[in-house]
Amino acid sequence: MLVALLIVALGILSLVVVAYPLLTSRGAARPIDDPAVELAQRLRRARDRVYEEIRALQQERFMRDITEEQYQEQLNAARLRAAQLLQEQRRVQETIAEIEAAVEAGMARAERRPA
Amino acid sequence: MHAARVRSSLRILGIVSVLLLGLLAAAPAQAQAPTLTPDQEARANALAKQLICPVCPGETLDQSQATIAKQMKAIIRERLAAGQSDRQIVDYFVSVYGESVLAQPPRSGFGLAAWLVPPVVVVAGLVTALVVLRNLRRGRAAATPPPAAESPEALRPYLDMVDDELARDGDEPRDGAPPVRK
Amino acid sequence: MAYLGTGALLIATVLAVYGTVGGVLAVRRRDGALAVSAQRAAYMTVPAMGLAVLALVIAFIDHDFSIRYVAEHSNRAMPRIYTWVAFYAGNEGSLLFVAFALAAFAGISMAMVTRRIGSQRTYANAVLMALLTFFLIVLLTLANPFEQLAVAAVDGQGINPLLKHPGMFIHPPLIMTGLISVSVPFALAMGALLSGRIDDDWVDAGRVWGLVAWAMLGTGLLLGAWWAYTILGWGGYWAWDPVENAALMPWLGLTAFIHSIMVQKRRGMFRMWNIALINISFALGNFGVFINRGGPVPSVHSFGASTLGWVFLAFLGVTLVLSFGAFFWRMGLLKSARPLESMLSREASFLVNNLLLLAIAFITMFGVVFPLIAQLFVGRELSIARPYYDAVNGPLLLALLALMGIGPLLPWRTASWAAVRKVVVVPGAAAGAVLAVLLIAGMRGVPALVGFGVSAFVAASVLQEWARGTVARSRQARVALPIAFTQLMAANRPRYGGYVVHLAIVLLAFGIVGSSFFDLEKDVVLRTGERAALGDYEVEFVRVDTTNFADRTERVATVNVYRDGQFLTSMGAWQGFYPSFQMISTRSAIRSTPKEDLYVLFSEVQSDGQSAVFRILVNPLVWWMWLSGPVLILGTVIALWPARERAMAYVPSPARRPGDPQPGGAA
Repeated sequence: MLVALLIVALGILSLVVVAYPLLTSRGAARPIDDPAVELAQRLRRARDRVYEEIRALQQERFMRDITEEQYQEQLNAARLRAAQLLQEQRRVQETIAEIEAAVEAGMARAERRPA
Repeated sequence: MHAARVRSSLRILGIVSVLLLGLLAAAPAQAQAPTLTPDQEARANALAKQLICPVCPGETLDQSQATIAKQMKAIIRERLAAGQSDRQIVDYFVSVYGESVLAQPPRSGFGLAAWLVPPVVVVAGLVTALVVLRNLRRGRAAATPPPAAESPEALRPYLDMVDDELARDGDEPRDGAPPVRK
Repeated sequence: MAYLGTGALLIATVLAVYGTVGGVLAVRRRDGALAVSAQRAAYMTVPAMGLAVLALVIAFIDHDFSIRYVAEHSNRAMPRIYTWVAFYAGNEGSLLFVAFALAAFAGISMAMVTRRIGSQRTYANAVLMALLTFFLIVLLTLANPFEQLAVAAVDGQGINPLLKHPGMFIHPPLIMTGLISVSVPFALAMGALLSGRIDDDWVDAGRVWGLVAWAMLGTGLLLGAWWAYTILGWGGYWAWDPVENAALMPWLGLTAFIHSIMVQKRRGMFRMWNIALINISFALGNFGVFINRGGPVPSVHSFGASTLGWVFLAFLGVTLVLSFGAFFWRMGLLKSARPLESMLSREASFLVNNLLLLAIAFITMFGVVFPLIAQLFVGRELSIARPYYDAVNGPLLLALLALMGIGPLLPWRTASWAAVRKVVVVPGAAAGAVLAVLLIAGMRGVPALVGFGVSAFVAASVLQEWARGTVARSRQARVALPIAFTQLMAANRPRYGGYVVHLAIVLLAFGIVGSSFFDLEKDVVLRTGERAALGDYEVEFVRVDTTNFADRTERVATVNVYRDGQFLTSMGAWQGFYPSFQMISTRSAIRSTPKEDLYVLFSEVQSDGQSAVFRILVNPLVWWMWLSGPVLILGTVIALWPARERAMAYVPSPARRPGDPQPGGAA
């Protein structure tokens, strides 16, 4: 008896948990990969990797594994890459903001003209 | 996974148990084991590592606790005491149990394959690695150089941000700026 | 309880199938809600599997002998604490354990990467759920631990006495979870391939989970060696038997992976190679599972398990074909971002390291299947055992050890010979000094000398790296040396954690070389009061005490140990006879010191009742091997400690930031 109860409880719980996102967010269906958001995140991670590289460079300079010239040259190249990634990320952000503004304006217009 | 190792040990011990009744009968034979010179002792130990216990696959005599392994070790000692050579003793066991009693395949016939494959693998791997490395090296010429800054001036504020972020080492991880994702 | 367990397994199966199908559909239809739902299904498999596990545990505790598995692996006399061990003592229970671990790993790993990668994660989750589905179907059809007996047994058969060892509480679960956890980095790689987002996005998560699996398998292997050493009674710890090899091979593959993934993380190279490596590691793990679930290589289980063996072979084949199919399909996307700058660089040394590791793994696998090949194709019965592996893998392992000393000294990108020469001086001198001392002390034998020399080289190179870094940092930041050392470790955790692990490997190598080339052994028959000499030691047989227990007869042989005529200690070598298993279990008496172990195995009492058979060994330096375990774990934890992300998520407008005229202020 108790066993049957436990099994049914588990079944119902699973069903609820699994079905919940389908029922609630169906209306405002989110695309699985929002390309813009995705791109911004990837740019950010790429920048993080450049920072890690710079950190390793600094380490190598500490240890005198590379000459000062090499260090400066590679550091500047890396900084430049990071800056370009930042710039790109900023552009993406602006695009997202623009699209959002446009969507909101459109929705506002639609509301003003009820069907 | 591990259970299997236990199982295989279990099997060995299962075999031990099957032979357990024979154990008492076999034991007196061991009691009168011949005394060997230190050199012969060493040879006995070495031989025990070269021969496999026939009922417990994959285990050499020195690893096995099966009765038959103990008996085989006793035979090795007797034959050593009788002045036989290592070769003669090994040949004797091969004639009784077949080639599978050898812990490593013979360096002749098909057994040779077992000895040839590993070096071939290593050499083939080395050659592949060298070719790959050379190709990767050649890619260097074709690779795009670090993108030239189209407009250094436009990048300047971003470069400063980069330096800020780098300098922030060890401080607060993030500023309170809103994240990209809403 | 049987119904509860089977019911929970059924629910878990439905969830896993839904998680697989729903995930794939979600990406194809670009349906975010469905993706979330599929992810939730994966989370729900954890409590479902947990309930199944709980059901079996309760069945054990209640002595529910109507369940066949419980009746076969426990009895009333068994202390409750051994339920933990009895749970995975057989095929069915261990499969349930593996499936539970897979569900838990899937849940934890997916929860941790959840915010980071979109369709990649959905695919990865689907792959994990597909794997779980396979295990669940096997559990429900071929190996159900909840199968009931027609007539409940009055008492069970009891637990296998070999399992009554502290190591058994941790070693088997670690190996099993270690093997199955390879699924996580594998699924992440598959997710990257299937979604076509191969950049370097999967790399961080893949590295973390690769390291986790690697550390678990490594610790499991070490504990297994320790268990074998104390209980199997032949005085060794590694026999190269097929089952040990099966766990070693994926570990070697993962070792290659966790090195080469760093190249991708740092340099954006080896993208294809890393995915291929994780595929290979996963396949090697499945090969291990196949061998152990009753494959064709001599193993115990009877007919039931042999069917299971073929099922796992099919599983191995299918996953191998699919994973490499996906790999070749996406190959065009996997080009390296950057070329190799020099043959003399850390990147290149990592490639050689991978080559050696894979060669060892392949040769080991070849050794496992060679007897089978010989039998099937030539009809000859040939065996491959320890001496073969020692001969073919020994030199490769030494080469790998040597590389471990040199590789970390090479900088990324490119090195000049002059710079290399500079950093090699100290380790080289250390190795030379060690060699000189050993030669003067009278040690001969090339492999052992090379082994010790190379170990010294590696240890010195690691210490030198630490020293140089610490001194440089302390000068630069003007802090005390200990603080500088901590800062150094914290600044590059993957690297310095890796060095700690390298030290652990040196300890291991030290112990292995010492105990393989300088061990002494002797089989003796001693009458009470008689002594046997071995090395510096003399072992005197004092007496045997016999005690009868409900399930076993214990015999403890007391021996006195003398060194150079001086009484050292008294030890008890233990032996138990289990009538219900018709089986003898031994526990050797071991006196362990950093210099050497004295190992006394009590194998039997002679029929006269007055004399006993002993196997006495002196194993030098084994102590250091067991020390390597904790060091290895420590190093892994350091390497895994998450790094802080420095890149801001939101980029403020550049206009609002006044220019800061300090270029190069990065340092």
